[in-house]
Amino acid sequence: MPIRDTIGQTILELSRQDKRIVVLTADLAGSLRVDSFQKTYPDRFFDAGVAEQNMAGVAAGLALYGKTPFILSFAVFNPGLNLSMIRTIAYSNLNVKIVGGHAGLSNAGDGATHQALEDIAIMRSLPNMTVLSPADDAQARWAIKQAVKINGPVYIRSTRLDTPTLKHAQEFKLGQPEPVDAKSKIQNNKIEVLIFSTGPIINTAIQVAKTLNQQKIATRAINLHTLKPINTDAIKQLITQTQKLVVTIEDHQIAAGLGGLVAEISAEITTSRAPLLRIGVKDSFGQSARSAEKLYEAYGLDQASIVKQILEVYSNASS
Amino acid sequence: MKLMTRPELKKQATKIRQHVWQMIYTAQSGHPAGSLGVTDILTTLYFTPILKYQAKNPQWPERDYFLLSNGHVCPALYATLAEAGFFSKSKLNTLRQLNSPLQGHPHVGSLPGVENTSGPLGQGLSQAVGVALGLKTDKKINHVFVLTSDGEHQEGQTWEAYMFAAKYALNNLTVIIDRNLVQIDGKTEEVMPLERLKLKLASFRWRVLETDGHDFKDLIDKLQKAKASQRPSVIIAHTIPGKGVSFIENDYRWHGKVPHEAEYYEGLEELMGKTQ
Ligand SMILES: Cc1ncc(C[n+]2csc(CCOP(=O)(O)OP(=O)(O)O)c2C)c(N)n1
Ligand SMILES: [Mg+2]
Repeated sequence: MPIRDTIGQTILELSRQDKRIVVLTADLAGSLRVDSFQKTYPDRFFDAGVAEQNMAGVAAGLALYGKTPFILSFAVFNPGLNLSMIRTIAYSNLNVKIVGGHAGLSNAGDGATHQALEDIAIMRSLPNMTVLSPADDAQARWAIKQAVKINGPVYIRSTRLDTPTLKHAQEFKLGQPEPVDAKSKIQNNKIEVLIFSTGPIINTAIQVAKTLNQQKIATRAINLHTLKPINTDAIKQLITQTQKLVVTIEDHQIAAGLGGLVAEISAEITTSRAPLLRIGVKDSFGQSARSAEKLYEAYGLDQASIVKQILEVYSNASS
Repeated sequence: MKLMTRPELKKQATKIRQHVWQMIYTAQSGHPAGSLGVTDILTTLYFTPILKYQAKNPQWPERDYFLLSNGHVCPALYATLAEAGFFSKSKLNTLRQLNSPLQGHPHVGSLPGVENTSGPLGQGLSQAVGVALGLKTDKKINHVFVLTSDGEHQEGQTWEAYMFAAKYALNNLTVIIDRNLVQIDGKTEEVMPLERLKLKLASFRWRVLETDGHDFKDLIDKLQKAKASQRPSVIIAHTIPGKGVSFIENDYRWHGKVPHEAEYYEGLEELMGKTQ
């Protein structure tokens, strides 16, 4: 099930028990899948119209009063357009849950204006903010539950894609890296290539890892469903166990996104460590395409181009 | 330019609507309701002497500026620009295709005739104010027209821009509001009421005019009045979303919906019938 559907459904489910939950959107109830919430709880649903700053401000007030507001819009506008208000929410440590939809290049048709490629960078730089980036429906469900549990601002990155459900070997823990190639038999001390990824593009990362393993390059894929807070010790340990190359794959700018995050942590390692290859959008805007697949290809984010990029650096690192 | 008669303007607008319908169907995404609804406004601007421009010289310093704020209706702008000769009509079917200059929302610099980037609602009026302010500062007489939607009048920035333009008495600026009464989640008056819009605008110290957004005589009259006005002017254009394809008219669900095959041919037939 698409992440956005799960998000809408889970908010609705939790609202049955938790009467504090209220939902606000800015003229995007259908796109963000809270139209069913609107029907079920018309008294707890508020459409702000096309007014994202005010939506966030009203949510701040609702949180001051004691409600648990969810605010939902496209990530380019939420937090893209209402950042100052969200910054105040973070500073005040208010219990507002922010859902940024259609993130990354997933919204191919609408083009650059509607493709959020900087929301992770923005949100992970805010104190008090928790940043979740679910990769499938199971994680989306978990993310919404976590968001309600946490007493403070939470950002949940959502996408338009229909994503397959991953095979999860363990429970999700806030801030904890999740190995997603559980079947792989490589020992930690034999990892040659380590891949970090986040969000639905983890599916590509898993395929890439499979391809590399078939070529006898011991590769491990790690999903970061939480980007803030993050267990830096666990990340450092994974990196120091890696012999040849650390890779990040993200549907976002590599600057200050997942690549930036791993680079920051990696740079703090005092012993010798493998070099880092950051794969993602590189200092350019998105654009329109007739399908998301075409766009991922154009931006070197399809399986084949990623394998190629890794092999190039890998063979240089090996020689 | 030879002056077009009203039947000729009508024919011209229908041609643009045919393009719009085909472009969105070919792209399999886009916004038919708003695009078809603003077509007569764009036709009036580009096919009467109201908007001064040279299609083959889009940067002509003496031109009037047309800025689009509600970027999602760009299929209508693209088709109008192509019909007006800014670029080849053969480009129209590349809408929303990879590497096409016809981006899903307009991008300044990608296509001749596109004066500003839009898509995020509520940002166009401020940009138009900036252009008008620059022109006025340099004592230029070029006029600035900006098309906005009613939905984006829910954004605070729109009103910040109205306030600014009034302060600096930008009489070289005309705002047109596509008052089609719909937005994504439903009717504007149910999602977030804008009324009493006319009074709001007047209290922001703007000259407020109203027009039937599909009546060329009325449109020409009000646009001329606004252009000649000594105060910043706003024209509330009452329009029908989806105008020209009767089964989608006035239905907010067609804001961003693509017709399926049978619907497409039914709509095309209706639009074709109008140019026979
Ligand atoms: C800042 C911003 N918020 C949300 C959107 C998503 N959006 C695109 S069109 C639209 C509807 C706005 O109503 P209107 O412009 O009147 O639409 P129309 O009449 O053309 O259907 C919305 C909310 C956007 N493009 N920009
Ligand atoms: Mg409208």
